[in-house]
Amino acid sequence: MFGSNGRDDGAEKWEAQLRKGCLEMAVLAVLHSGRSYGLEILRALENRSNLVLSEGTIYPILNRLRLDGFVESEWVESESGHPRKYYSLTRQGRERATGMAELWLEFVGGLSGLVEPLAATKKGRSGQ
Amino acid sequence: MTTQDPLEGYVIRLRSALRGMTVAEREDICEEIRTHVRERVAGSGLTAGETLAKLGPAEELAHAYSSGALVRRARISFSPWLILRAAYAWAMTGVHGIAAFMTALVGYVLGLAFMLCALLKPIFPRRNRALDRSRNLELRLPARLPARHPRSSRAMVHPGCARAGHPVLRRDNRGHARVAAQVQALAEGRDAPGRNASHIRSYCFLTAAGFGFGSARGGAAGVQNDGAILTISAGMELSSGATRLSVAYTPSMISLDARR
Repeated sequence: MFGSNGRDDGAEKWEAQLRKGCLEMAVLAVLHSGRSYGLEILRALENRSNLVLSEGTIYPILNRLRLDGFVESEWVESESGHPRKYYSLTRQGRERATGMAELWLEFVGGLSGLVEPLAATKKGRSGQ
Repeated sequence: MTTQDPLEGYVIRLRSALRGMTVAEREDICEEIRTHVRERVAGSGLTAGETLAKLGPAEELAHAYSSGALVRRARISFSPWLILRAAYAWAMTGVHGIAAFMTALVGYVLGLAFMLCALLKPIFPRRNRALDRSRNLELRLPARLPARHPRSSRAMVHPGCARAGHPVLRRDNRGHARVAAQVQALAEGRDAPGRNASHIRSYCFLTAAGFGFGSARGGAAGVQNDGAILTISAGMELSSGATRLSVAYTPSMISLDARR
């Protein structure tokens, strides 16, 4: 079965699951560099990681992270005229973010050695 | 209530669909969504309708909030109602959720039925037949009790067992074997040596109740961990002692009653 973009549905599902699995880490990583609000986090994810989210996805994730004690929130008056809800990492969230980053790099580093030859083979074929 | 403003219409739908949270939490979420839409409209030139379309249907957004909140509350709760609601919400998302929900539901029904038997036994010592509709599925305390134990002591023993029996059995493997031998003796029509027979029968029911509650908690643990494999392992772990006893005892109790 192939999707509208010519890729098979299995690969699309896998990619969707992969993105979903990374979301929490990506949001924590954005907040690691300073407090931010929902729309700003969405833009940071798009600009810094090409992770494009549906806009309705980010707020439940932020709410879940807050309930888990990884982030805290506060309403702050802004120059735009309406208050924004800013999120920042708690100490627990900071530890979680660094722990996840270490695990991720270790995981990606390990797998890259395995899959890089496959990508090289594909490039070689398309170059011929 | 209707409104011409698409944003307010969306917020009303969102608010009414948000479940499992306080009024303050709901209002906080609604305000954040309002702010998001206003900022998007002001910054991108999109209309409110287009921005709301990017957020998705209000009910879906509410579901994303509510299911997370319910599961989160169920994690730290022992409330069967909350756990069942969380399991039901999960059941709506796929086959793993359905399995967890059914496990929790069956577990709680069994657990409550057996616990009811144990609690009713002191009140109706000779007529405790909560599940006595069919001989094939008879899961009752035996109607006849040894005469040598005064009723007052039985009345005290049962509620005590209800509190203490299950954890004791789960911790003590030698206790399992001892009680199993005594139940076997009862099943064969012999008097169980050295222990109050009604006490042992209470243990049997508590074991079965433990199995029911263990299954339910297993289902709940599955909800907590979002995985069917974990559901099974947690169910096994939580009712480990009880599971073995249930398997061993229940047929004995049925055969004991069937003979009478």
